[in-house]
Amino acid sequence: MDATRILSPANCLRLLAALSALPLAGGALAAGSPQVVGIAAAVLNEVSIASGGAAQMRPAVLRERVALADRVQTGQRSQLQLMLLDRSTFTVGANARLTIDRYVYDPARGGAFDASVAKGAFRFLSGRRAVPGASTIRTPVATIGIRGTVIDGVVGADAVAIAQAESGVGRGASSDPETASLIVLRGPGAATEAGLTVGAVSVEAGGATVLLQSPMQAAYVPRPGAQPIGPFMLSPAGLERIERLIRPPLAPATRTAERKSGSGSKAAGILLNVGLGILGAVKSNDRQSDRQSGTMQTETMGTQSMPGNPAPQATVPDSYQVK
Amino acid sequence: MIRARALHWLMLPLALASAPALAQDDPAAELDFLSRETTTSAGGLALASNLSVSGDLLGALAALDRVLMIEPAAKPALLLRASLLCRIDDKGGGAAQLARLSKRDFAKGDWNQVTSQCAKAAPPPTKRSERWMRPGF
Repeated sequence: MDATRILSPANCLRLLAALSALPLAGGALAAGSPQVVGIAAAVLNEVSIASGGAAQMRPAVLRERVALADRVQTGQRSQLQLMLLDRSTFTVGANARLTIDRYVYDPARGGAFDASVAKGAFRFLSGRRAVPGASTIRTPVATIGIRGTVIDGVVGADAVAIAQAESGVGRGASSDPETASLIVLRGPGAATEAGLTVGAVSVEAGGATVLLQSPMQAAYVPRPGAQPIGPFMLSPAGLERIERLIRPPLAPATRTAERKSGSGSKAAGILLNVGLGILGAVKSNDRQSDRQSGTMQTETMGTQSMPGNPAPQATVPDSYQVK
Repeated sequence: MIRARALHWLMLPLALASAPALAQDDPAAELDFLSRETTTSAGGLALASNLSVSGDLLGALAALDRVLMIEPAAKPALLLRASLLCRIDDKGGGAAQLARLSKRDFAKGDWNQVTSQCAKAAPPPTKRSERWMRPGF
């Protein structure tokens, strides 16, 4: 082979470029990529994320990887569901801030984490591969130990408003509207089906611990350094307010789209039978429902984009294109 | 088309069961699948139904949370959610969910089945969860 061709200027440049890239690649590997803890499983309207120690937030993208120490934040009329690798989920409502501070996951053994909720309303559901009793959620005033649990939580002024209307708390407690935290155990209760781990929660604050052991038991920590008030049974009105915080009201245009879609038809009830054990029934109705919800989703996601907000992130997936 | 979609749903448990294989390449790939299935209410409802049949009631509730994010008035999803809440013994949550729905919007059998699930008397509270709880947990 002709040596002059091998060592031609063009080849020398390619070799030089390849060699110069090696230290960069090595550096990147040595530094390590961020530890992925889960994905943004559902993103609605204004949701932003800051990677690691970065100060600047950027719009979150549906199904983007969320890494350890990423700060996730929702805006007005916005929602996010963060799904961790062990299939635990955080569903957060508007104006919330959430960070996963520690995460350990082994597919064979399960996952455990420490998370921080600085503000807003959230719902946590333990994943099927979560390690019972190994995870905590911190708010500015409380540490919540969780086991096999569904919990709802509210941090901030909404927590004060809800708690003060509860007979178990009353208006006497001096509360900090920035940090006050309300925690509600939703389940699973002792009579749960499917052999689920019975849920339990410990709420620790001000040197005291309150245990929540049955659904609808709640604890309230009114300010930094204060001990938890509770457990008390959350009223239906209190539960309703929390539900509205986690699933905030949508824009008027979206509601119009919902009415058009006929989403409450009796026919759609056939799908429900699947959940109640009749698997085959799904076939007869899926085309119609796909068409309805495909249109509805396009309209919903399109109409919820507000001026100045990033475009909605959800898209119709390939497998559900309306035929 | 319908046959192909039915096969798709029948393959769901297999797809979920094969998660460890997926996880070797990308530990979050399985999560992509679960998220993708819930970008329409019909797909999400079917996923939630399949998860609940397989006993993953909390996974089903999480799927419904995603469904209700894109279609908050999806009444079948709300009724299934009420059913699931009652099945995990969150009777108060299930009752509150049912109270926001109308019997007229559902097939009689569906409605009766869910209301009977939610009407089952809850046993007295136990203290079995106290064992793992310690101050400073």
